[in-house]
Amino acid sequence: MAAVAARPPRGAPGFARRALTSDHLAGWLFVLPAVFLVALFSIFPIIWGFILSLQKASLISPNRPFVGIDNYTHIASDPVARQAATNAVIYTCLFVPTSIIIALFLAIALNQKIRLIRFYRLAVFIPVAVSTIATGVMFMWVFDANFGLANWALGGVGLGPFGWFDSPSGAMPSLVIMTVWGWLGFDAIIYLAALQGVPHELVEAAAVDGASRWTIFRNVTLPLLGPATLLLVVWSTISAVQLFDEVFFITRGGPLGHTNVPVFYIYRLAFTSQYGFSAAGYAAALAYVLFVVILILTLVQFWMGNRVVHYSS
Amino acid sequence: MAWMVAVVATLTMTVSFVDRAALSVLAVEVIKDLGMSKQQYGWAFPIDGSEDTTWHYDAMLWEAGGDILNADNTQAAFNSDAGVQALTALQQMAVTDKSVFLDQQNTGKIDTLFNSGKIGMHVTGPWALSGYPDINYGVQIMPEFPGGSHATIAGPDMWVMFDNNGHGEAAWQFMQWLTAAEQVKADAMESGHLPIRNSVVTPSFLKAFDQKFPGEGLFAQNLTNVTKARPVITSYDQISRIMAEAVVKVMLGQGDPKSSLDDAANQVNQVLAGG
Repeated sequence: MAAVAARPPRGAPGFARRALTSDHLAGWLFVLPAVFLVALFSIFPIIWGFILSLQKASLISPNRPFVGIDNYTHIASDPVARQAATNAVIYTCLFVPTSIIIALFLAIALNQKIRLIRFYRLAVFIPVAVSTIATGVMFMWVFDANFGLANWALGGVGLGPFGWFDSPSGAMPSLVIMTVWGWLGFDAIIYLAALQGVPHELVEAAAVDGASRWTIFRNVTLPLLGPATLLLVVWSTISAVQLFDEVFFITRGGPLGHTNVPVFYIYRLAFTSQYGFSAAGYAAALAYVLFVVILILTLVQFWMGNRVVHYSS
Repeated sequence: MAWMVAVVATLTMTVSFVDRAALSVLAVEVIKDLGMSKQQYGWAFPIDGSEDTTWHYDAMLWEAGGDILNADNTQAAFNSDAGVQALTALQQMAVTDKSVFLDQQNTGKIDTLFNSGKIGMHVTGPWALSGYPDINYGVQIMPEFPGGSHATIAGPDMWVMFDNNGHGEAAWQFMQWLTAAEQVKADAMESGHLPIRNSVVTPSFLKAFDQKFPGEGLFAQNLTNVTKARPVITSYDQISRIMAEAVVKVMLGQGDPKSSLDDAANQVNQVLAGG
């Protein structure tokens, strides 16, 4: 008798039963692990980071007094932060155009019908797949001021010797060369895909109309590469502003702070005690400012991009 | 870990390691001996601005008779005459003579170059000796400045006990056992760690130790030259960064020793005053 009474009454589904049997539940259960991980490793740190940015805090001490927006106002008077921002601007202005323009020409070359084209494509893409540390070790020696291949080769044609990573003026350009080399394959593949998406009949029609190869490239191909270019500009800018690995491994922000970029400075503030034990809050504030800067940059790029980029139907 | 200068032994050692000026001369001599190619250096120094930069300098500061901070750790003291003398010696070698290889990356380049005969001498610890299979080299204690000492720098790992787990007494007893002479000796003979007790370093120990770990005997003997330690205060990392910045600046030829150290001392005093 009791067992029968405990059974849910038939024909009275209600909200609970609908929820239990609907497709939604299965869906939610499937995504639950992912949602949990995203919440744990993305959303929670984002919120905690913001709270941290309002505190004078280290990452291990329980003593975290709230200081309001002091961390944010301090940024304006911090010479190291200003230097890091300048370095980020210099790096981004050098890295983004250089990598995209070279990638475009590389993609055009890789779009030719020539022997061994698959090998060339693979060769161009390999640096993307190689770990930054391996790339770093290689460039560290190639760009060694005394024993490096680069100075030896350039010396052969009467140039140099250059200081590369070791010289205050050469460290940033050296980083640019190294990272452009590392990213080129990715950019070239995106452009290659876009080039192969250019409708053949358009090119043919232009040719029939008597357009030169340059005119076809300028007026047919290039406009159709607009969306790919916009993607690459946005993507490269974001990764340029967030430059860290190469700096961490090779230059450590030096010489004399000439490659001290924002994320590296944030790392040093938060995870070392080189700037004191309680700089994690300030680091979080800097990270938030960096996020806002990247957001604004991206919005501006999309806004400007949408005025000049044509999406083919 | 005591630091010493490892030297490529195939060189004719005409200059003994009595003082720093001799090292400076020797660094140049070494290049001449190696063939005076600009591809070779007499000495090497890490200028990545890390603690490694600072403690290479610290040893020289002490050899000249200086100190990092004053006795009660409230004021910077490294901008003394001794500090300036030490940094001037570095400036002389790096900027004027260009006899020292400046390692900006400090990820093992110096060891590799030393092992391939591109660098004549460098300052290192016993852990590095196994990394030089390709060269004949010898080990010598750190040189001194006139009127100074052969002070070296030791970087002991700290044994830290927590007092919040209710087993403080047991931890203390364990620590006493771990650091007792017998255990220190056994650990040294087994692992090649330098003994942390002078009482362990007897002639018979040295003989056996050096036999098992060739070249390390002198490192162990050199422990008597460990007369000073870096200040154990929470702001040490900040002080280290500021000092390293001054050293790098001077060695890259972008500042003079006195004003760079004074500037660094001001920054350190601010850090010390602030907490």
